[in-house]
Order: sequence, then structure tokens, then C-alpha cells
Amino acid sequence: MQPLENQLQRPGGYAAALAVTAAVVTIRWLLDGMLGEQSPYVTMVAAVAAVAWFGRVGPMVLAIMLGGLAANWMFVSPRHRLGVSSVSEGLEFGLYLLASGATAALGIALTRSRKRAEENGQRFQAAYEHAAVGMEQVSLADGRLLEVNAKQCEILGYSREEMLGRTFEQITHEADLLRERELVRRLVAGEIPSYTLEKRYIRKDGRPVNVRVTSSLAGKGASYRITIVEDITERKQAQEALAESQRRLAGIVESAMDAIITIDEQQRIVLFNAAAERTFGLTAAEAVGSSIERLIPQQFRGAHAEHVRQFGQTGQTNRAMGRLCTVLGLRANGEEFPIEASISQVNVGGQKLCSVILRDVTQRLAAEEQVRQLNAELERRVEQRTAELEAANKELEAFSYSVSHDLRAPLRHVSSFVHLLNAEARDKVGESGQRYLQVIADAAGRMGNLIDDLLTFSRIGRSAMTETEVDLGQLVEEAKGELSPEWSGRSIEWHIGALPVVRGDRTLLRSVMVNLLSNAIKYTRRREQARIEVGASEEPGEAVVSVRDNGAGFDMRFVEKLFGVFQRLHRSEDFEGTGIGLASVRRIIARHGGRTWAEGEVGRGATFYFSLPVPRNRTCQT
Amino acid sequence: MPNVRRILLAEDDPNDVELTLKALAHHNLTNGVDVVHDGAEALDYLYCRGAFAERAKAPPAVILLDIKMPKVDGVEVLRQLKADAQLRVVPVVMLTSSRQERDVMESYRLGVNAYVVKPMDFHDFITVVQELGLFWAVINEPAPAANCGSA
Repeated sequence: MQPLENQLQRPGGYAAALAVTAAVVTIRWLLDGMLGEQSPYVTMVAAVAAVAWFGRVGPMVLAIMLGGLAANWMFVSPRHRLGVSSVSEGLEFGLYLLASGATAALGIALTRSRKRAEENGQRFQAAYEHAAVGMEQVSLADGRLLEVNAKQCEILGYSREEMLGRTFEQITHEADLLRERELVRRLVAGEIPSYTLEKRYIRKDGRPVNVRVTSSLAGKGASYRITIVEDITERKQAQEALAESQRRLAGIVESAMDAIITIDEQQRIVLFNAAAERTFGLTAAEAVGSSIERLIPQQFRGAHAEHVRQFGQTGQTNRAMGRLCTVLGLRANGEEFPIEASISQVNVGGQKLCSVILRDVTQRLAAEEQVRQLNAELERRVEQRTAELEAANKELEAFSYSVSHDLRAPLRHVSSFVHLLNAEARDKVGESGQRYLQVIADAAGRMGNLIDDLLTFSRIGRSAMTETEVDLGQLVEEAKGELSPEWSGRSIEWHIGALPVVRGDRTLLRSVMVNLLSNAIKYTRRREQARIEVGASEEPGEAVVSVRDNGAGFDMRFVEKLFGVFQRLHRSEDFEGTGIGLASVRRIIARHGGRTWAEGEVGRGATFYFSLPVPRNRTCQT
Repeated sequence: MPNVRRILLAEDDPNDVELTLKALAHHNLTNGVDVVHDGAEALDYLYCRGAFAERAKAPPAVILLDIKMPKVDGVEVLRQLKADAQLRVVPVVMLTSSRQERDVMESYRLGVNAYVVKPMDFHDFITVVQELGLFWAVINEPAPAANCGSA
């Protein structure tokens, strides 16, 4: 009772009590002539009653006491003397106290209840006015707005005066009117205790506003109803956004090309998109609610359940299934087909949902199989061709061999008998005859060389290769020594670098070096200062050897012909040779798994390269 | 001059026969050269049969054997010779154009005494034949008291 306490502390009440008591005493004194000894206390009760109006205990007590004392002093005989002189006087005083006490109590009670009522009224008023929801009081008779609170005015954009007097129908969106009218009817008829409705009001500025209203009668037999109005604009927008987002997601899921299936913890299908329908030949209506096992072939069901259980336990998300082996799915028509799937897990509202995104890879696997088969076919064909090529090569070599072999005998005869003729009948044939004989002998000699070279060449492919460690540096020295007669009398600058040790057939590689050096020596014959460099470099997985000379060189346009059998880029008058040397080199190096190539410039010299595969842990030795 | 035993030349090509004889003539070895023209003849000669039934029984100091001959080739002749107890002691020199590995291998396997490839160059040919003849027919000591083969 705080306000009361506040009042007690204020001195104003006491002053009032004093004043009133003094005033009544004065009146009684003035009326003393009329009243005399009669009712001295009664008038005091009036003062008490007056003070009681204020309902305050303190001033009340003061008034009673002062009044009593004043009356006793002034109006009760013996006057101007306090005291009770007789029993009846005492009784009168007692009655005065009682009466004034009662009056005081009444007054206080009255004041208190008045104050309470006032407070309640204020509280109610505050609740009404300052509520965050709109409130209306709507007349049942004609739907007029009897009362609206501030929030309601704010919601609708009207001022209070503008609102009152309008009917609820006037401010309601016409599309919602019908529904509300029906609800009001039922409310009034007592069919329903209240109704809640989402509707639209039309604001003063004409804009509709989404609200949620709850209306109830203001008590039994009331003439108006109370409506609570909630502005749900924001909520509506959020709902709309959510619905939009849901539509979008649903759209994505439904339009996805891959089947998307979601199952709950009991392996029941919760979601089954359009692609899943197509893949499994099952409608979503049929699938949802049933166990996912119907989509798995019989033999895998146990394994699958175990799989999912483990997955659920580990809590790992986004594991791809079917990575190690083909997973099979089961269509509604009983057909099994290969699938590629990934599964993930999500926790929604305390429930674990498992999503499987899968695709029917029947076609892809078939295509892959086809590719594999084509590749195998290709491989087979390549092998076959290679074998055919090998066979053709061998045949060619055998042919060259036997032909050259068979040619030797008659050639030998030609050469021999020419010689005999020369020896025995020289003087008989004359000078031109002798020249003829010389020509024949030379021709036979050249033919012999050709045949020998051809025989050597054909033997390369047919002979067995004995693989050993071969020191190329050593070979070069040997070849240089063997060829020394060919460059005797000439000055040649030899630059021989560090050459590696390789694996190969010593004899064949020796002939390679002999051939290359022989060429270098031959084609630098016309140089004053011939310079021959032999070097090597190491490339990943192979050793590359080069023989460079500063001799006649060759035209790079014809570089491809260089290594051809019997191909020459120089005239035999300039440089003799059968053109088999480089072809032999190429054949031998090819048998070793290496490559041969050359660079040259006419008049500047040539460099010949060959590569030999070298096992990786081999290093060049100096 | 030491005793020059006869040389048997088995060669089908008449040109080669002529050349060989010419070479051997240089050292006057032609007197003791008998020529047969194919493997069958060679065997007849060595076994003292057929056309050669009446010849002197002593086998030649050396047989110069060509490989490529009609009827019976050189390698076959060699095989038979080396299989014969009597004739195996007679030195055989393959004198042929072939340097084919299998011919060389087979000949040595059968026990040939020498394998010579006829050089292409005339001079070389002459030299080789002469040296062969000189060595085998003159220098080399043949097996004593050999006889015709026991066919």
C-alpha cells in the first residue's frame, strides 16, 4: 500500500485535519446559542467524517482526538474544562469515540477501495493503451469500432478519432470479409467461444496489412466483442521466403538428373525424387514409407544394412559407396542394374536422415567395357601387326641374305676371269681393251662391296645379341685404331669426351662406332684441318652419343634419306661408299632400343647422334 | 720333293674348277688333283666303287669339298665320311661360297678339319687355294696306310 505510506509522510493531511476540525469547532461555537448543551460530540463526528474522506489514518486519529478534546473543553459542561463529570457524559464520549471510529474506519475503507479501483483502472488503461498488439472493441449490433488502442491506430494508420465510428467491415479487405462475417455470426450465436483469423486490413493509405485477429465476446450477454490484432507482416514475409526457399529446394531435388532418396533411421524411404522414380520404375507414392531394401538386390541386403549401421555409428558424412566394387540396384520390375552412389547423413530435429544420391551407370559401364574391348582389340591388332612386321623383316633379311649369297659366286667368276684375261691376254686387247677390262673389274669390285655390305646388314637382324656391359669409350679407341690406315698421313684433331658404359652387344656396337668414325674420317678428307668430336650426354633414362665432324656436311632437307638402305647424299666420285653404313647403324641401335638422328649443314659439317637406354641407377663413368 | 698325295676336288661349277686348278698349278700340284662334280661322285670315288672301282686304293691327302652340289651336297658327304671308320682320318676342307652360320656350325660339328670361304677377290682366291694345297697336300702328314672306305 505504497501510496498510503507516501501520504502519511506528507504533512498536508494533518494540516487539513486540523483545519477541518477547527472549522467545525468554530461552527459549533457559533451555533452554541441554538444548541446549548446538546450534542457536543455529534458535530465532531461531522469533522471526523470530513477528514475520513481523505482516508488517512494519521489525520483521522488527530481529528478524533482534537475534536473530542475541543468538544469536551468548549461545549461540555463544565465548559472550559476537560473531564467527564457524569456517567451519561462518559457514555456520550464513549459513543462519540465509537461513532467517529466507525466513521473513520468506513471512510478509510471507502478511500482504500476507491484508490484500488482507481489503480486497477489505471493499470487496465495502461495495459490497453500501451499493449504491443492492437485491441478493438467492436459493437455487435453494427460492427462499429467502439474503442481502439494506440497500437491498433498505428497498425491501420488512422488516428483514434478516424477509427472510432468506422465499422470493422470498412477496414477489412473485401476478400476476407465473407469468412469473418461467418465467424462473427457463430461467435455471437455462441457456437464458438472465440475465433482466430488471418486476414488483411486496409490501411488509411490503401495498403493492405496482414494481421492475425483473435476475437471473443466481452462477457456473457455483452453488447460488444474484443478483438486482439497482431501485425504479422514480417512473419508473413518470413513464411513466404521460407516457402519460396522450400519450393526452390524441392524444385532442385525434383529436377535433378540423379536419383535422390532419403531414408530415416528405420531404413524407410522418406524422400524419393522424380529421377528415382524413373530409375527404379517406382512412383514416389509407392516408395515413400517402404523400406529401402526393396531397391537392393536380395544378396546384398544384409551387407547393406550392416554398412548403413556402421555409417550411422561413425557419423561420417559424405562417403561414396560403390567405390571398390559395383553396387547393384533393383528395379521394380526385378531387373538388377549397376549404380554409383554417394551417401551422406544429416541430423534434423533429433532424427538422423540418410541421403543417397545415385545414378544408373549401366550405360557408362557398357561404354567403358566397349572401350576396354576396343583397346584390347587394338592391342591385339598392334601385336599382330608387329608380329607381321617382324616376320616381313625377317623374310626380307633372309631374302637379302640368300640373294647376296647366290650372287657371290658368279661375281667371283667375273672378277677372277677378268683378272686372268688381263694377265694372259693383255697385249692382245690393246689399250682400249685394257680400259674395258679395268672398267669390268672395277664394276665387279663395287658389286662385291655392295653384296658384302648387304650381307652384313642382313645379318644384323638375324644374329643373336649378346648383352654385356660395354665401355663405349673403349670401343671408340678400338674403332679409331682399326680405322687408322684410313687417315694415315692426314692430320685429324680428335676430341673424345667421356663416354658411358652401356648394356648391349659389343660386336654390333663396335660396328656402329666404326661406321660413324669411318664416315667422319671419310667426309673430312677434303679439310685441311679435320676435326672429329665424340661426346656423350646423359638424358633421363638414356645416354646420347654424338659424333661431330667439320667435313662436307649434308643438306638437312634430305636428312631422312641418310639412314636409308643404299641411300647416299654424295656422289661416289666425291666420296665412295655403298650407303649401307648408316642404315646398319640405325638397325643396330634400333635393336638396342635406341634412336638415331643427325644434323648437318652443307660445307660446315655433320653431327650424328644415337641414344641407348640406360637403367636409371647407372651413371656415366669417366 | 716329298710325296705328293692326290687332292680330291669336289666342285660342281666348271668355272670354279678351272680357277681352282689354275691356282693349284702355280705350285705344280695339278698332277695330283682329281675332280668330281657332285656329292655322289665324291662318295663313289672315296668308296672305290662305281666309276672309280679300279682306282688306286689310297685315299687322297685332302678333300676340297664344295657344299652346294647337286645330288648329294657337301655336308652330307662330310657326314658319311666322318662316320666311316676308314675314311674319317682323311682331312676334309670345306671350300665354299657359303658363310652361312648353320653350314659352318654343322661342318665343324661333323668334324671338318677346316672351313674356307672362297674369297671374292681373284688374287685372294688364288692365294688361299695355293696355301691350302701346299699345306694339306705337302706339309701336312696324312694318316698312314688308309684305304678305301668300307662302304
